[in-house]
Amino acid sequence: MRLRIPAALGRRGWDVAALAAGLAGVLVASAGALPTAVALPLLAGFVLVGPGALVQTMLRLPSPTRWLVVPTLGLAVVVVTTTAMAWFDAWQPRLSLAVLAGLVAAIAAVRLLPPVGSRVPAG
Amino acid sequence: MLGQERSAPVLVSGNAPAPTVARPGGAVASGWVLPAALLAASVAAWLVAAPSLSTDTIDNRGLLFAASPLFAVSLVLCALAFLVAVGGRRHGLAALVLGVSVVLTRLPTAVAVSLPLYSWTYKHFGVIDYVSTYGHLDHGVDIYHSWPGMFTLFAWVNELTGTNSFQLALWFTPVYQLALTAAIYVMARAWRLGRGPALVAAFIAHTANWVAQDYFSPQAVAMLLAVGVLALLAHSGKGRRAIGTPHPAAVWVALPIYAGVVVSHQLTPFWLMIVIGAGCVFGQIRPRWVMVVFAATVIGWTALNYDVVSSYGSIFHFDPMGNVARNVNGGNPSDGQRLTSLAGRFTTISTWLVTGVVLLLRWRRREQRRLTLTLAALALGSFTVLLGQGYGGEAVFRVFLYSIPGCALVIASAVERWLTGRARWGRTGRLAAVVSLLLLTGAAAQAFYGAWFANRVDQDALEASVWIVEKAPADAMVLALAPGAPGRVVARYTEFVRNNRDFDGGVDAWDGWLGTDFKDGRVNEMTDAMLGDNHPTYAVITAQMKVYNAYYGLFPPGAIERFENQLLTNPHWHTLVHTPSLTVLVINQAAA
Repeated sequence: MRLRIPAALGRRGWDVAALAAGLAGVLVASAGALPTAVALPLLAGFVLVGPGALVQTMLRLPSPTRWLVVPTLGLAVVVVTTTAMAWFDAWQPRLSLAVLAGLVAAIAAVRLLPPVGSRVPAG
Repeated sequence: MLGQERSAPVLVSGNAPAPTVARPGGAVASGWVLPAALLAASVAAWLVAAPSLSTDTIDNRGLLFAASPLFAVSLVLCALAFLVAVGGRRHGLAALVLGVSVVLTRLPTAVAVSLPLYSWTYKHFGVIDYVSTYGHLDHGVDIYHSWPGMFTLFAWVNELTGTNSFQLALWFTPVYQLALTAAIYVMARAWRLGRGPALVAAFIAHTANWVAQDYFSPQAVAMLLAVGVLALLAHSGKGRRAIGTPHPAAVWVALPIYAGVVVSHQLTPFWLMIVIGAGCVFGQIRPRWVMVVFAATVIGWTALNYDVVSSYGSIFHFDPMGNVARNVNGGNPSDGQRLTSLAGRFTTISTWLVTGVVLLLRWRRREQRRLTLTLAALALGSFTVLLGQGYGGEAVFRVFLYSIPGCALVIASAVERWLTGRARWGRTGRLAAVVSLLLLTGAAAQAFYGAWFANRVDQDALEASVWIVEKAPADAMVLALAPGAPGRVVARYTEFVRNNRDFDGGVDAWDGWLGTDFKDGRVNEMTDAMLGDNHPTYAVITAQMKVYNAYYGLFPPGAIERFENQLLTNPHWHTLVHTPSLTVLVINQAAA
C-alpha cells in the first residue's frame, strides 16, 4: 500500500474546484440564516479551496506542495482581508465574503469557458 | 524515493534511495498485519479508556495517571504501530496510523472537557467579541489588537456561520493538530524527503510537540501558515542549489501567506525571516533580494505597532538568560509537576541533541554544506528568539516550538534508515530506534498531559468572570490569587485595560507574596490599602486556582484556603458567591 497524493488534478479540475468553492462562498454570503451545520462546511470549503485553487490553476505549483499551498493561501487571504477590514473600521463580513467568493467564482467560470476563437461556427 | 522523482540535484538527506523489493533484516518488512493489529488494539484500548478521560479524580501527575492505564497504553501502541508500518515501508498504512495517533492524542482536549482548556484561551474570546461587537480594533489596548489576524478571522467565521468561540476552541486542537501534521508531511516532501522519511518527520513533529501551542490561539494559526511558507521556499531556488522542483512563482506565492503570518503573530514572522535569510544567503532562495521584500513586510507591520511593542519594554532588550526562565517560577512544585517538567526537558533536549549530531555529521561528511547551514537555521535558528524582547516567560517554549519542523526534517531520514534496518547494526539499530521513539512518545505525552487538571476550566468560574467584566465598573480591579480564572472573555474587557493594564493581575506576581502562607496580617493590610485606593475590587478564588496551586506549589498547602477565609470573615469584603468550587467577593467601600 503506497501513500500517494494525486499528482494531477488537471488544470480544469482546479478551475472546477475554485468555481464550486466560490459558489459555496456566495451561497453563505447571500443566504442570511443557513444553519451552522451547513454554513460552516460551506465557508470552510470556500476558504480552504477557493482562492488557493484559483492561484493553483494559474501557476501550477508542484505536487505535493500544492496540497498545502491551496488551503494556507486561502486562509492567509481571509486573515489579511479581515485584518484590513477591522484595521480600517470597515467591518463587512457578508459583503467581503460576497466579493471574495464572487471574484473567485467569476474568474474560475470565465476560465472554464472555451476560448472564443476555438468555437466552430454552426453550419 | 529520495531524489528519484524529480530532477533537481539537491537532497535534504544524502542517503541512497530505498530498495523497493529487498528489505534487509526485515521479517516484519513485508507485513501489514502486525501494524494493523497494533492499530486496532490501540483504538480498542482508547475506546475502553474513553469514559475515564473525563475523570474528576485529580492526580498531580496528570491525565495519563488519572485516567485508565489503557489510555497511555493506547498512545504507545499507536506509536508502535506507526514505527512498525514505517519499518515495513507500508506508507499508506503508516499515514493512516499517524492520523489515528493524532486523533487519539488530541481528542481528549475536546471530548473529555466541557469547556476549552487553559484559562488564557479565554482572553482570545474577548478580542474576537470586540471585533464582532464594534467592527474595528482598539489599537494600543493590548498586543492582540495589533496582531489581530486570528481574531478577525474567527470573528468573521462566527458572524457568517453562527458558531461561537467556545465551540471553535473546544474542537480546535484535534482538528488543528491533524492539519499541522499533514502540513509537516507535505513540507518534508517539498524539502525532498521520500515518503517514509516524510512520514517520520510528521510523526516526530506531532509526537515531540508537547508545548501545547495547538490551542485556539494566534500562535497556532501563524504556525500553520508558516509551514506553508516553508514548503514554498523549497521551490524558490534555481539550478543545482534548489531544494525542490524550482518554480519561478513559488517565492511570490509565499509572500501573501507570510503576510498572513505577519498580521497574526509578533514572533513567528521573525523566526521565518531567519530561515528566509539563510536560504537567500546560502543560495536556496532566489532572487536573493526577495529577502528585502519579506523583511520590509514584517518590519513595516512592526513599525506600525511600535508604540504597543515598546510599551512592553525595548524590542531590542538583550536578556537571553531572563528569556530562558519559564513563566511559572518559584514556589514548591508538586512531584507530578517535577515529573512533567522532567519529561518536557527530556523531549526537548533529546530532540535538539539528535538534531545537532545529525547536522554535525552532515557537515563533517561535506554533504551540501550550504544546505546544511540552511537546515541548521530552520532547526535551531529559533534560539535567536531568546535575544529579543521578553515574552512573558514563554520564549523558551517558542524556541522549541519553532525548532520542531526543522528538527523533524533533519532527523527523519536517519530515523527512517534505522527503522527500515538499512542503517548500521540492522535489527539492533531498528530496536534501538523503536525504543527511543517510544520513550519520546511517552515523555512528550506526559509533558502534554501533566498539567491537565491545572488547566481545566470550570463553568461557574467562567460565568463569574463574564459577569464581572460585563457588570462591574470599568475602573474595578479583579484580584486573583493564582492563575486559574478565565478572564477577559467579552469585549468590555478593553474598558478595564484602558484604566489599568493589570486590572486582573495575580497576587502571586506581587513582590514578596509568592510562597507566603498568609499567617501574617498582610491580607488586612492589603484590604486597607484597597479601601484607600477607592477602586471597586473583586476577589475571585476558583477550584482551578487551588488545583493549579497544588500542582505548581505557588503557595504552601492550605494557604489559599486561609486567604479565602480571611476575606470571608473580613467585614470590608462582601461575599457575592461562596460555593465549594467558587468564591467571589467585592470590597465594600461603604463599610470603610
